[in-house]
Amino acid sequence: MELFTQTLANGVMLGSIYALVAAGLALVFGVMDIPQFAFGAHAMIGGYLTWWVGGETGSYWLGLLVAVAALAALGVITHAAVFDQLRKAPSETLFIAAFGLVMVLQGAAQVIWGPDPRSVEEAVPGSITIAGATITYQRLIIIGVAVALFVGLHLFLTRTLTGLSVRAAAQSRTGAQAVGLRPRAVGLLAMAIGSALAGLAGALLVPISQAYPTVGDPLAIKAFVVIVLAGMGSVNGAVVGGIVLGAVEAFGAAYLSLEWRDAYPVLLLILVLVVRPQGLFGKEAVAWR
Amino acid sequence: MPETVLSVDGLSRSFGGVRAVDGISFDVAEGEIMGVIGPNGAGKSTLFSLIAGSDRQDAGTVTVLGSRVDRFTPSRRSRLGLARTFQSSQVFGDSTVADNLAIAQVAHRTRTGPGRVAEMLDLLDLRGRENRRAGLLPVYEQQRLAIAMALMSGPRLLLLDEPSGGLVEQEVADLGALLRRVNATGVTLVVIDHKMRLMTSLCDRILVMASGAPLALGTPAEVTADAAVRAAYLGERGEPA
Repeated sequence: MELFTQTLANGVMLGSIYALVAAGLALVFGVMDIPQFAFGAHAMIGGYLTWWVGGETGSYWLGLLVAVAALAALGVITHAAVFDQLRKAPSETLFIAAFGLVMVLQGAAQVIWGPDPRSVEEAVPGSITIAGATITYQRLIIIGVAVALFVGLHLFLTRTLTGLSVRAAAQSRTGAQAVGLRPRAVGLLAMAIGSALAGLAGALLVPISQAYPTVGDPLAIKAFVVIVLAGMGSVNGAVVGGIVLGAVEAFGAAYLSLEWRDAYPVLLLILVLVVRPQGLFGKEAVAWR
Repeated sequence: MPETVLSVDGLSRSFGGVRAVDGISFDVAEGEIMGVIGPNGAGKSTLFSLIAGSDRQDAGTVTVLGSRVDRFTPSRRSRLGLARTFQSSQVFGDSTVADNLAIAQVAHRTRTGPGRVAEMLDLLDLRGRENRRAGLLPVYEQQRLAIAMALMSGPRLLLLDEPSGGLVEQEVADLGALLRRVNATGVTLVVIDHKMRLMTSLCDRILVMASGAPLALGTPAEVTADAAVRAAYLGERGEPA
């Protein structure tokens, strides 16, 4: 029972991080068909900024806030400088541009902060025992912040006019244009949200994983698996898919074999695609179902 | 003398070697209902795309309410008072009817007030459908929602691309009455449709297009009596006027 509870907590924590990055990826893909793989690298930058600002000021939370704000700005700059310039380019070009961004950001991190991992103290040291499992406060914080974020994102997309506009642009770009919405402005907003979510994921994860230039790579791959699993462009699906993926990975590692840990999500993906090629929640590219 | 709401002058658009729109010129006066007919491939929808700004002309000008809009984006034209509906419904299928109307008003809140949603629900007979998901509505209700969404901006000019597509006879008759109601609120209409009974009863004037070029322009009686029109279009389709 202890192992089960421990594994479940690990899985949900890991899944929350995947879901944060995947939700942003789904939003951006839904609105603009951009496979923004650089969100993994954005999480990495978020981790470094949390380490740096947190180290300078002594406040993890200030570091986290700066990371989220800075990554939202980086999302806007990236979109304006790269993806908006390529808006008429074929999808392969967008794909390559996203990978190029990963290399640029990793190279920049290597030059600025060096290759050695940087450690960040946990925001609240210590742990709690629940049903025999020891869960650190940092892991509870990750789950709590992620849940609050998902509720906030859901309310934003379903209850605010700006959020409704984002969903509208994802459902029909032509329709959105016809009613006077500015698809480029909506796209910019989606990219800022996606980058901020990735930055938040990096800031939440850094006390557990440390910061180093390639720390975001597995996140980018897992987030991509999640959005294919969930159905391309489905934000709700990305949240559920992220948690499921985290749980599959944690339970596979605990009960089957730790060495196959990274293979379980991919095996799950293959299984789902064989049964439901459109993903668990998607039929086409739909942003919010 | 009524104001000219839309002025199209020498509009042309080619795709490769095909002249989809070839030297089309016409004016639409405020309050008028103008029809555009022609066989499939005559260039009617391309003409709408050029007027609405989703495609760019090779030659000619489009003037809406006195402003040259040739280089304006569709969004900017929309904010100027031009709205359109599409052949295939462009409602946001995963959102409710009320949300669709709210989204359609986002860019135009300074022009249309908070009561606009209720007004459009009444005008387009959509009362009681507010919380239904738009994608699950029957075709005619989706079409009415699309028109309501186009009207949320408070447009002076509305372009309707085949509003009767997929409707049964009774619904087409109802649509005619509904469009006259919309027109009576002060919205000038330009309508593309294949249903001749609807077009001749609804429109003040009709432009007939064939192979991208203008074939005739006049009252419904004039164009249906035109020998060239009968040969190129009415005869081919065989539907009584």
